[in-house]
Formats: sequence, structure tokens, C-alpha cells
Amino acid sequence: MSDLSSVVEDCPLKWSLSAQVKADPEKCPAGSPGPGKVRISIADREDESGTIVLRHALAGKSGESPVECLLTGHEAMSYYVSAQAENGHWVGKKAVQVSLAPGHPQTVSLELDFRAIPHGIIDSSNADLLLERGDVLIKFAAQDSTFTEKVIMAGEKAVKKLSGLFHEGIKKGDPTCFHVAIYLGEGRTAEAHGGDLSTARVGAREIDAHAGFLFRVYRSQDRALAEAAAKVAETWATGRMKYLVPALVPFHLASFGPQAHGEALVFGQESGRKGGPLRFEAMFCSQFVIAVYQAAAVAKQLRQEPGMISTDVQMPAGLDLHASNSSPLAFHARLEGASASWRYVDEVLVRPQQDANAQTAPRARPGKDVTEQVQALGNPTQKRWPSGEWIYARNPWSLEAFEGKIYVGSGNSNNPAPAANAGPVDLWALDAATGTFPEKPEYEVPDEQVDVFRILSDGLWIPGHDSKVTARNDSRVKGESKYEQFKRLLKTAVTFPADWAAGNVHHKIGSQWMTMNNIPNGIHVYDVIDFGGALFAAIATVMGGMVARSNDRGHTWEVMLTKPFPYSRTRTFFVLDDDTGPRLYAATNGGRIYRFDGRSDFAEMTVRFFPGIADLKDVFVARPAEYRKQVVYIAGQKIIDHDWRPLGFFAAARPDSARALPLPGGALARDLVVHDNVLYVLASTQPTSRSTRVHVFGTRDLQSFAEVCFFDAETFARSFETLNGDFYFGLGCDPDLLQPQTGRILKVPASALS
Amino acid sequence: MKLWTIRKEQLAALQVAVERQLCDRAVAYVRRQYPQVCAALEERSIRASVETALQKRGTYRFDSEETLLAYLDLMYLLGFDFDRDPEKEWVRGTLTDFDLGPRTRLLLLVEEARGRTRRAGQGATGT
Repeated sequence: MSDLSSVVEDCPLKWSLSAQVKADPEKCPAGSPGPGKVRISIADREDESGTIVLRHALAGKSGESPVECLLTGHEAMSYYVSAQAENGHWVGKKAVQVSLAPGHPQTVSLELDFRAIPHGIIDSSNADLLLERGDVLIKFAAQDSTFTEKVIMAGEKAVKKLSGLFHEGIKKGDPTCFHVAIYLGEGRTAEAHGGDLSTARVGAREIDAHAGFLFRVYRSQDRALAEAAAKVAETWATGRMKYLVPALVPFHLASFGPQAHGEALVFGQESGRKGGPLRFEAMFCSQFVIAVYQAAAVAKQLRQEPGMISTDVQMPAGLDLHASNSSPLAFHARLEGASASWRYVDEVLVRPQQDANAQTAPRARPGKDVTEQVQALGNPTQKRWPSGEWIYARNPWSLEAFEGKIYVGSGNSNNPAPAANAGPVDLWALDAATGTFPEKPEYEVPDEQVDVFRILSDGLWIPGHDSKVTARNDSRVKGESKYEQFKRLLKTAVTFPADWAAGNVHHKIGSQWMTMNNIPNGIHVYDVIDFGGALFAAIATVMGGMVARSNDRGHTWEVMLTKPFPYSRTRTFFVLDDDTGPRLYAATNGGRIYRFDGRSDFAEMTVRFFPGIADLKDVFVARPAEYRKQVVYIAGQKIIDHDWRPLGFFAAARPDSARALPLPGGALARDLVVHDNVLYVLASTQPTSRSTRVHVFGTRDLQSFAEVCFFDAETFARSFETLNGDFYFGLGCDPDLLQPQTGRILKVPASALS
Repeated sequence: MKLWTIRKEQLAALQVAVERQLCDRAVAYVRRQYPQVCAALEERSIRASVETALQKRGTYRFDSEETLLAYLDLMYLLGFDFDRDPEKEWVRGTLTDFDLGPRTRLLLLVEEARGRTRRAGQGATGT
């Protein structure tokens, strides 16, 4: 059968690109997972950016997939083709460049390498799957990659990006790009580390302390030497030695000369001294790791020849350096050049998923594992946004129980892709009694996103996140040329003011929804709240963040300024009591809090509302909820435009007394629900890079949290709700890692929790 | 340059002729591959099996001659209604995983079916 070829491949007017993936089962330990389904990316650039097509292959028992035609075309093109198994355990050696011309069918073979750690992402819980005691970790520490970048970029994409920067650093020969550590096992490293120079020491750390950074891993082939070096490192890394700033180190004198021999002999003699060699008060990172290895090597020689002198010292390949004069760059180069003694293992990224205050997180007993009891109730928004980048618009931003139904938010008001400016939004309401969605949505919301629901004194309200009254669609649609798109955008530009002139609120009255499009300049309406008999709306205008007030339930509005800068946004409201009674607060981006004076003004407060978070530029109060006379909230950091990722979980009885409430295990809080005097917190952790654990924690006192239940899912739950004892969850995804399960609504019945 | 115009009627006639030839080749293929099973079948039953495979092209999104023959392999290895057989549930996941190309889905299923048949110590299954 395989000798048959298709007509397309032989056509002189077309080219075809076919591919086969190959994974050698001999290259992985027995019992390791095979490649299974493999994603093949065809991209304009080597780093997979500008990906034009994503295809899939499936490897058979032999580790090879059938050759499959991926793409055909008429015009000469050049692409990069790369492959990665969905399970993350097999990854293509490198992207293959192909040049395609009509009449020339091409077939590429994509060879996959095995990775013990899926997607190359480690943390202290799984590091031992890949790393061994004594492994040398070369860490790329360039400043080009910001913390935000590292956190936002997920999985292998981050590895690739950082890997590129890493190799650029090597080419430049910049020694400050690197840091070196030695692995001790159980997720711990020993290293000389800087940071706050007043406290910097040679000590042991959790590998999680390097969250967001990339390591290249080198392993000594002499396992006894590696184990001995790890023991020396444990003995020396007590914090006695300070961190030596290597600014004045003569790195050019790194060769293993007479002075280096003498130093190595001292290291060997002092290998068992707690706190490190007496004459060394401080060490820098590469010096420490080279020194512990040299100490281990020389100590062994001393046991055989106690009277040896420095000229007798023999140093294994890769370690023949003057430790005190060797930069991380020199060490890295030496390891690369000593392939007989040192094996390059892999590049790994340290997982960046944790609450900002995770280091103070309490321990808690695990709750009930309800993974087997989770019921999938459907994916209603898939009808409007079935596939591709539109998956992102299926994010169930909120779930809200109202009159026996569970309402589902969705859509996307971000201007950049994916799924830019989606909407209008189908408002789906699950019938909780039957666990089914109706045939048709309850309402078509003329906004780009339904982000939150609010149950006020007169029923259910939806703030209009980004008006879609004119139903514009800025993105190019299928079959539309760039010119046609340009003409359409020009035409619709005149309707933009209609969207920007007035913001919406949507109100369910009886069984009917009513949209009121009359909040002046309310491009974005993020929140609504009842206060003092009036209705308040948190809005963003071209002028900046504002608050609108209505005394006639949304029919007319007056506006007040909060943060008067373009792109400023009033995101949420909350109420706290003080001596004078209840006070209304508005939270804006930039981590700012404003208090209503009760008449016509919101005044900014100088308060520290997000303890433990240094950079507040894109931070705001997300999901505020009142609980026991306090406000509980998530620090949301803008990802793109409007949506956010959680940084930490907090509570405040007064604006100046905010405190962090890290959840057990450093889990990231994503949604809050108060029910029957219990505060429930939806949170997530990532036991593996493609498996997310969804947690529900509960507290009655904001002091201790008990885990109500947890389940494992393909992606995190963005929102949750409880009704009649049952829990409902909406699976979501981030914009850089679209997950096909996004929008799926799950239920954990009350019976599963008992 | 003069271009040929092919009318719809001509295309339809061409299609019928091509399908007939394809059907003949497919019948010859299954006779050659599964002689024991075919010996117990009438000619019209074998042709009916090929017709069934041709009808499944739309449902399971395959269209080349190679994938048609692979689908016939599955029918003769697993049973003519294997795609609806509750005992052959393992087939459905791959067969309907349209992320994958038709060649991948069908060739790997044939590989798997052959392996299972061999392990079960049976020859070609009945219909």
C-alpha cells in the first residue's frame, strides 16, 4: 500500500509537504511513555513564531508514524517544520527547514528525542525524575526575559524562547548571563547566590526559588565523583561563606596552572569541613561548584596518597580550571568540551506557577479526590466559537447561580489575538435541576465579553465589558483579502463612536433581558454595585478610569473620575465598614484604591493593598467578595488588555490592613464564592505541565483553609459556583496556551463530597 | 491558448467509470489478501463490502485508494460493521480523530488490528 502516491504529489503545478515522525524506543528507559499523538508545527520562523499550520501525527508501535501529506500549495515557500509529542515526553531535535517549489513533493523526517520530564518543566516535586545528585545546573539569568514574560509564556514555548537567548548569551561570551548550581536531590540545590547582597550566602535552596528560569543540565559520567561532590556541597553550603561578587575576578586566568593545583589541594584537604574551607570567606557561583567537585576528586586522591603535594593533583576533564578565576561561561565551555566525562542531559524550565506569597503558605491535608466523580455537562459556547483561536473566547469568565440556573460568561474583549474582539456573546444558562443546557441561549448580549454577573437588589445584572452594538469584527475573515478587510475596517470606523459613546448594562427583569446602552463614554463597564440606594458602574473611558452613578436603576448616569490617565480602568467595587458606616471603594489598575466621599468624589488612598507584590503596574483587585466584614480578593495581573492571571489571594478588614492569604501548597486562587457563611476559593496547581489540579478550599475564619475537594483536569478551572450543595466549574485557558477543553462546564455532585 | 471545456455530464460519466475500476481493483485486492474469507462469500457480497467502504469515505473522511483499501482491511480483519461494533470500541477513537490525516488513522488501525488478530491466534475474522 505504501508505494502508492497521490495525484496531488505528482502535479507539476503544486508542491506538497509530507512528514513522518520517528521516535526510537531504545532511547528511553523501559516503561516510559511512547510519543502517542504528536503536534507538527509548520512555521515561518525557526522558533515556531508565525506558525501557519498545526498538524498532528500518531506514532505506531515502532515509534514511527505513517507519512502524511501536511500541506499543499502553488507558490514557492520556505517553512520550518517541528514536532513535539502532546504528552511532552518526546520533542523534535530541531526545526527542519524546507523549501517548497511546484512540482517538487517533499517529505521530511522529524526525529524525536525522549525527555524524562514532560515539556522540560520541573519543580521541586518532580525534579528527581530528571536530575541526579551532583548534576551541574547552568542557569541562564539574562535580563532580556522579564519575569512577566517567563510567567506568561508556558511550557515548551518558554523553553524555546529562553533557550534562544541562552545561546545568544554564549555567543556574546557574556559571563554575567549565567549562574551555576549543583543539584542535591529532592528538589534542592547548593549554590552561591546573590540577589540581596546583604544576605547573599553559599547555601542550599529549593529549586523552585529559580521559578521561571532555564537550566542546562550536565552530568558527570563518574557517578561516585558526582555523589562525593554533592556531599561536599551539602557540607560546605551552610551559609557561613558569603556570596562573592565576581566583578573583579581575573576570569582570563582560568587555566589549571600551579596556583590552581594548590587551591584544589586545599579544597581536597578541607572537603569535610562544615561551612567550607577556612581560608575562603566568600565564593561566587561557578567557583563554588568547581570547588566542590575538585574537593571530591582530590579527597579521593588524598585517601590513597595522604602526603601528596599540589603538583601531584590530578583533575578529571571538565574540572581542570582555576576555580577562583573561572567564570560560569568558562565552566560551561569546559563541560561542553569534555563530552567523555560530562554528558549534557537536557534543558529545563523551572515552573513559575505559584502564589506570590507561597513561601508562607500553610500546609493542609489534601481534600477528597473527586476526579472520578466529575461530570461533564457540555460546552455551550463551542457552538459560537468551535475551533482555532476562537477557543479562547469560550473562557467561562464567571459562573453565577440565579433562579435555579447556572449562568455562563464568555467572549473576549481583548484587542490583540487570540479571538480579538469576540462577541456578541450567547448567554447560556444551565438548568441545574436537569443538568442540561437549553437548545438556544437565553439572550444574545451585545458586548464582546460577559466577564462578571452581579446579583443586586432587583435581580441579575451584567456589566457591559466592551460594547458590541455595531457588531464590528476587526479581524480578517475567511476568504477576505487584505484589501477587502481594509475597506471594511474603513467603513466600520465611522461606527466606532457608537461603541465608544456609551457603555452597556444588561438587566434581567422577570424572564426578559434588557440592555441599557447609556453610560456616557463607557467603552468598558467592568463592574456594577448597589450602594446607598444608587447603582454604581466601574468604567473605563478615553479619559481614564471613572465611576458612573445612576439614581434610576441605569436609565440615566452621571460620571465621576477615579484615575485620570488614558488606558486607566476602574475595574471593581467593594464595600467596607468604618466608624461612619459602610464605605464604597473602587479599585483601578496600577493597584490603586479609591474611596467614595458619599457625595460626588472618589479620592485615592495611599495603602498597601497587595503585600508581597512589588510591581503593581498591571495589578488590580479581581473577584472582590465580602466575607465576615472583610473584603477578600485576588490580585489580578493584566495579561493582554483585559484578562488577567492571579498573583495572590488577600483579605482586608480596612484598606490599610490588607494581608496575604496564601493557600495551601501555594495554589493560585482564581475565583471566590461565599455560601452559607463559608468562603470557598477555587484554585489550581500544576502537578505536571499538562495536568492541572483544580482545588476547592473552604474557610470559616480566614485563618485556616481546608481543602473541600480536588480533581485533575487538562486545564485550570477559571470560575466556579455552588448550588444545592453541588459545585459547578468552567474550564478555561490562557491566551498563549489554548486548550480544546476550554468552555467545558463540569459538575461535582454533592454526593461526591460526602 | 485553447482550453478544454469539460461538461458536468462528462465529469459524472468519468466518475462512474473511475469508481467502477476502483471497485474492481478493490475486489481483487480483498480476494488476494483474504482468500479464506472470500472463498466463503459470494461475488455480490464482496462487491457489497467494497460499496460499504466507499460509502464510509464521507463519514470517516478518507478518499485515496490506499485508505479505501485500508478500510477494507479493517472490515475483513474486524468484521464488516466494526465501526459500530461495541466490542471494537478501541477503533473509534483513532478512526474519528480528525486531527490526524486519513493515512495515519487507517494505516495505524490496520497495524493494530493485525496485531490483535495475530495475538488472538485467529486468521481473518468472519463477517
